[in-house]
Amino acid sequence: MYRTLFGIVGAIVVALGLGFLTFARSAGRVADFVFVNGTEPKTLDPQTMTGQPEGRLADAIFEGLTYRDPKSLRPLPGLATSWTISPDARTYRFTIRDNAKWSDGTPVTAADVAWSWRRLQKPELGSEYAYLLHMIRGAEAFNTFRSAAEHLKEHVVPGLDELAAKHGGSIPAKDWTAFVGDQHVTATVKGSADAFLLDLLARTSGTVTADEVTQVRASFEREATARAEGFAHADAHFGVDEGVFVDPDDASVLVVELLAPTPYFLELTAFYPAYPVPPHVVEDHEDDWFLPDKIVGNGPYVLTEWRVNERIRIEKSATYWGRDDVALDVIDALPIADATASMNLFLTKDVDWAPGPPLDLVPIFQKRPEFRSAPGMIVYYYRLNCTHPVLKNPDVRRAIGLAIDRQAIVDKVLKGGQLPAVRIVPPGLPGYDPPESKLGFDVEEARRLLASAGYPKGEGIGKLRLLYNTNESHKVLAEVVSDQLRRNLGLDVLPLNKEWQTYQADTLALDYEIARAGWIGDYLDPNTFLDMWVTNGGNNQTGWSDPRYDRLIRRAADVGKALETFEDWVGDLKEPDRARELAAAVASAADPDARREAGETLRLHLFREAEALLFQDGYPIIPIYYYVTQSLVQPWVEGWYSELELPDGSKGANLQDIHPLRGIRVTGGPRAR
Amino acid sequence: MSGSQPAPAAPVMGRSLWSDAWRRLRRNRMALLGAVVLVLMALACGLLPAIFGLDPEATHLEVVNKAPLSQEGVGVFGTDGAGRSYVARVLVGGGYSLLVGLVATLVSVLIGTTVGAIAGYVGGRVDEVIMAFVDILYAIPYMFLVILVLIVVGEEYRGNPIPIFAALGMVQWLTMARIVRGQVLSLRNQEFVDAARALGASDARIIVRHILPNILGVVIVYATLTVPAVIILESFLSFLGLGLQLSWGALVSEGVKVVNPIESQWWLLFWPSLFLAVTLFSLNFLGDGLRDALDPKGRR
Repeated sequence: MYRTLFGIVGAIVVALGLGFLTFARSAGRVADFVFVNGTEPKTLDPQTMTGQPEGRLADAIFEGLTYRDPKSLRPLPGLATSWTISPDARTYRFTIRDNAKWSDGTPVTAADVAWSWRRLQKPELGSEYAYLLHMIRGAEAFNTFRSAAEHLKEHVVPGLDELAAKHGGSIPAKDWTAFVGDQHVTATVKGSADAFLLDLLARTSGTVTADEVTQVRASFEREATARAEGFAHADAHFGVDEGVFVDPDDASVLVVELLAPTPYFLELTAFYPAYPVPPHVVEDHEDDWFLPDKIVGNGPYVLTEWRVNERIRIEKSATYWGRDDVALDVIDALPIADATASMNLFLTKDVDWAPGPPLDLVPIFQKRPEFRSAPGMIVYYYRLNCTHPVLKNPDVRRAIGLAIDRQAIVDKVLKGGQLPAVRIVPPGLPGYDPPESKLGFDVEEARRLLASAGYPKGEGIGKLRLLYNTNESHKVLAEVVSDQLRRNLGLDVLPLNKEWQTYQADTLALDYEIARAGWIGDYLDPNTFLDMWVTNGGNNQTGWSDPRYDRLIRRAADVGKALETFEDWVGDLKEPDRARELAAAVASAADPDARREAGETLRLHLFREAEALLFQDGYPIIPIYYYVTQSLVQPWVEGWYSELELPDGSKGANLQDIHPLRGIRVTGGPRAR
Repeated sequence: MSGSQPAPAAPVMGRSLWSDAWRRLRRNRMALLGAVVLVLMALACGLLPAIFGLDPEATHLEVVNKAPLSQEGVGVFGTDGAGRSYVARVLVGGGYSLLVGLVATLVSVLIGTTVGAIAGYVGGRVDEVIMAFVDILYAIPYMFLVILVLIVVGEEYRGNPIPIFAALGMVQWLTMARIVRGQVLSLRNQEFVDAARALGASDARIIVRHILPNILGVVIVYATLTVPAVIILESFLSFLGLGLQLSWGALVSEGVKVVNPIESQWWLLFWPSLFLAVTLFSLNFLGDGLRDALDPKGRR
């Protein structure tokens, strides 16, 4: 009897003791700096992440060839101490820092970077940001050709046979275009030089004859074989001796070959998809190498603790080459999406940096010095699911875009100086002249469009889910927009809230009708807002596809090559005359610099044409407003900039809302030592 | 019991169980007050929004975050951050809360009495199996069951009250089944049941015509006390984000979020809490009163 009692009491004491120990351990050290990181990161693998909460931590744990200077956000030598660029701007040679080390002490080598960039493009990884580095030779083939070949062999060719059999050999134009659309054929054979095939894919009227069917079947098979071979070649060479590889004569040099000059390439190397990851760790733990007990990074900080829904702790790395310039030793990131909760933590001085306060309180905070606000290169928009039976009609999509009163939303709900948006590219990008947009606020026109599309007063459309991730201001906006669509168009819109991870999974799977989204420019170029809308682009997530758009983005990526066939495509543009003028300017340029400048103007004009397709024809997305970034920063925090130093010495807004943790210092406050 | 006694010869009105109960209830001031408040509340939530055309989802961006009484019409109870009228939201939300309480209770009464009556009347193995099933369901945390149901039906039905009715009814019938079974067990061997059986009445007829009327009082009392329990449960679910999109619970949950040390829109929390509390008090007073009235043995 007593022994049992002893046993029980003993067990309780031991359990309590263990509990206390865990508690005591967690209470141990107070961080030097605590910030609210929005949501729980989906992953800390830089090659599969896409969000801002993930990016902030990746910037601390890893370092690319270059890193962003906290003061100016311009790329500085990071993992690479220096680089040379070939005269045609297509070959970069990066010299890797000889004292760069992974946090487990292993040196970071040029081979690690090549391995990581190959990993980013690996078809099995399915990275949504893979396209960001598709300008590297062989990257796109490695990334997409295998699935394209399989798709051609397993779906397109059998589908074509089935269709031809059904119609007795030839195929009516209507079925043909439906087939091309359903099977994403144009995107699958992207880059093909087969003129017959490309002509046929663009055909919208007239029967496809039995002969043509036979011929196109052969074309498909040729494309499939070519792609399978292209993939096999890339598989053997990409990251080994092609595209990105270690200089055979100098193991400390990484060579990168680009398909086209990319003015913002050094900004890309400071962006997380291009960060190196440790091959010796990732190979052993492919799925969970980024968890605290396994992760190895090369950045200023190491991940030491990840308690889901509680905090992520990073500590200064003992192996980072620039550790002497990193001020903070221990940083905590709190996954708090609730604006009121994070504001309360800020007011009690429990956090040093928090996102902006709840919308209602913005006017009050605007008078306080802790409130930091700056125009952002960030756009808030709604994705429309272009594969939805009703929303696949662009007129319906435009009607939705015309029925939202953006000015009232900005003035009455947001109240922070945001700008209403009818286009995706934010104002203020140097040299970019935005096209006219056919969106705006015009309820009459919206109703007329909806009625002529066959849904007068929204009848017959059914329930539309409006998906948003957990956040009070997203919620208020979702409610306002739903109500405006309901009152202005008679649509039955159901605002639907999901956690960040589910929300991301659902938008990726196109399991929504309308979905809130925001896009922060990854670099200062219209391309960052426009290249994501190409067919099947990882961040497209609307199902929208326009071959003309894909071609424009591809031409803008390599203006020099596009100019060779200029006369073939200039007629397809909305403003061919302007393009002709610009092309003539390139041709008549006296010296290479003038030529590059004229080419740059033409490149920006192609983006203008592309954006015109989005907001005069396609409407896959409905922009609402351009963000004003809002943050709460304690007065003792230094090195947190809402204004940046521009190259010419003047000040400019921190458009991307990036505040690298490596540059932050604290000069007081409750956590100062 | 009433049925088996010969009627008195004098032309005196018989005092049925129900008229007795009604007299006792009338003497209970709090219960009466509760009943009156409930009727008023139901009328207000059910009729006022329709009469005045109050739309709880309409956003009036010209009057965002206004305090109560600072605006006429839609702004009597104040407005929220999207400019929605709180008088409309509290009344329509109240309608949903009351409806959930009523319908889920009805569902639980329906399932509970049927299952309990069958188990109690048939007895034997059937009783054992049914009650074992009830015990098993009892052992599973009800919250878990409800959340499971809501997740299984999927988000398309989020905000649609029917799955909530079903889910809440589903967990509430267990106690009802036990109570009914106990009552039926004690009634099924009474003389009047034997008499009915001797006269050739079928089992179904005996249950429906002879046993159920005799346990109706208990069922009513328990049902009255189930309504507030269901309303609270729904509020709890809404607070967790699983319940209705619009109900008192959902409104309280929204209201709590705006409580902060800088400037609170207190009315967003005050109105739904007030309405919810008043309704729950009334329901509990009425339930207590009914129990006292229908179950004279339990009185002091």
